[in-house]
Amino acid sequence: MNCEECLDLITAYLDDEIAAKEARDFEEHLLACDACRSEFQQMRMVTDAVRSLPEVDLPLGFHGI
Amino acid sequence: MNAVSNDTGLKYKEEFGRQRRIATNQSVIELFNHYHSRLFMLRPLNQFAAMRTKKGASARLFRIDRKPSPKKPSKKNPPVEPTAVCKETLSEDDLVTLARQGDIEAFGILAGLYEKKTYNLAYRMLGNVEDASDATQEALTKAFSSIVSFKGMSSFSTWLYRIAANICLDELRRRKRNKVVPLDSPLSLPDGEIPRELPSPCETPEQILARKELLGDIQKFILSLSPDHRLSIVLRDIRGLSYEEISQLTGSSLGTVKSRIHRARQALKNTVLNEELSSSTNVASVDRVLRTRYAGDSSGQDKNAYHAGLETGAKECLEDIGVKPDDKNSKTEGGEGS
Repeated sequence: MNCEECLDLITAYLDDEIAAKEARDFEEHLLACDACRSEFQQMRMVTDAVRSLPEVDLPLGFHGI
Repeated sequence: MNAVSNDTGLKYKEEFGRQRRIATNQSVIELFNHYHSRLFMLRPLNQFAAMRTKKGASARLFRIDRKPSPKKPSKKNPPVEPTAVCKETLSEDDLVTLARQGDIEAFGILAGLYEKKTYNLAYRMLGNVEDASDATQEALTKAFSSIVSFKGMSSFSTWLYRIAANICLDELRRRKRNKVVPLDSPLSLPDGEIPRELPSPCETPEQILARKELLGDIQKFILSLSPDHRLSIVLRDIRGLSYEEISQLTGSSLGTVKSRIHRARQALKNTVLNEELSSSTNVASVDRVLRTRYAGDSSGQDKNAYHAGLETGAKECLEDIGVKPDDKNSKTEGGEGS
């Protein structure tokens, strides 16, 4: 797997929308490539931050009562 | 207050139960039109909430913890005869079928299942309680009025989210008149565009992102994205929809869904990184471009041209990105609610 292919798979990997074989190749490339690993870590940090946002409650008065 | 609310709920339930008996064969559209003005005066979801059983309405209004609902009957089970007593135990498919036949109570139960999730989608898209609440009410009202056109090609929730997403995008288009410029857009200059610069090389991007105050305020950065990027992030990472569901919702191919999410995340990441030097970076960008344009390559620096350009060009650029002179609070929308 080259860097271009690896970068293209970051999103699918984060979303678990990737085949097992591709995931293994992806991880192997990350272990060997600092640049791709850095990009992956940045994307993962941002994605984790979004996913950790709490679910907000409906505002009082939403049902008009 | 409890008694009053329950009385209110019973009143609406009786009223619409009576109406349902009278108009057994009327479509939901006809019913909706018949009560259109009245529903709007009372706010539509008033009815949807209150038309639940007494127990359900009470639990929602006063936030009494309830045991989890019994397991929904599987599709293999024979459909349960719809009676007022057991509708809350019906499967979602059965509720949708009843709602399409004009059963307002069934729609009320469906709305109750997804109103909070829909509200969260709207809140992350629009960034404030009032707009999110209005968008959610509008989405549920639209869903109610067009449930007969729901073909079941996707789940009810995906269909409802699509309605809500379109309402949010419409609202963002209306806001565009206010010239709120997404931070991930390039800087516009009179004779071209330049990309916004990445922050100082003193720290690695991971080190910058690791600062809690930056990612801790991620909602602010989501709201600074363009509407399309914002929607991709919200559907995937806030609402947790799969690529397949987003594909159904947006009518796009799986490949398109993936690439949109990828671009949206990159835009979000760059926006967070740019925030580090937001104001100073913008000024630095202007300064760099003006130096390139007015200083000349080999004939020496024309300082007068540079300074003249700096005065006019920098002002235009800063205005373009929404920063007025002496206005350090540029364009942050909303904040954490609830």
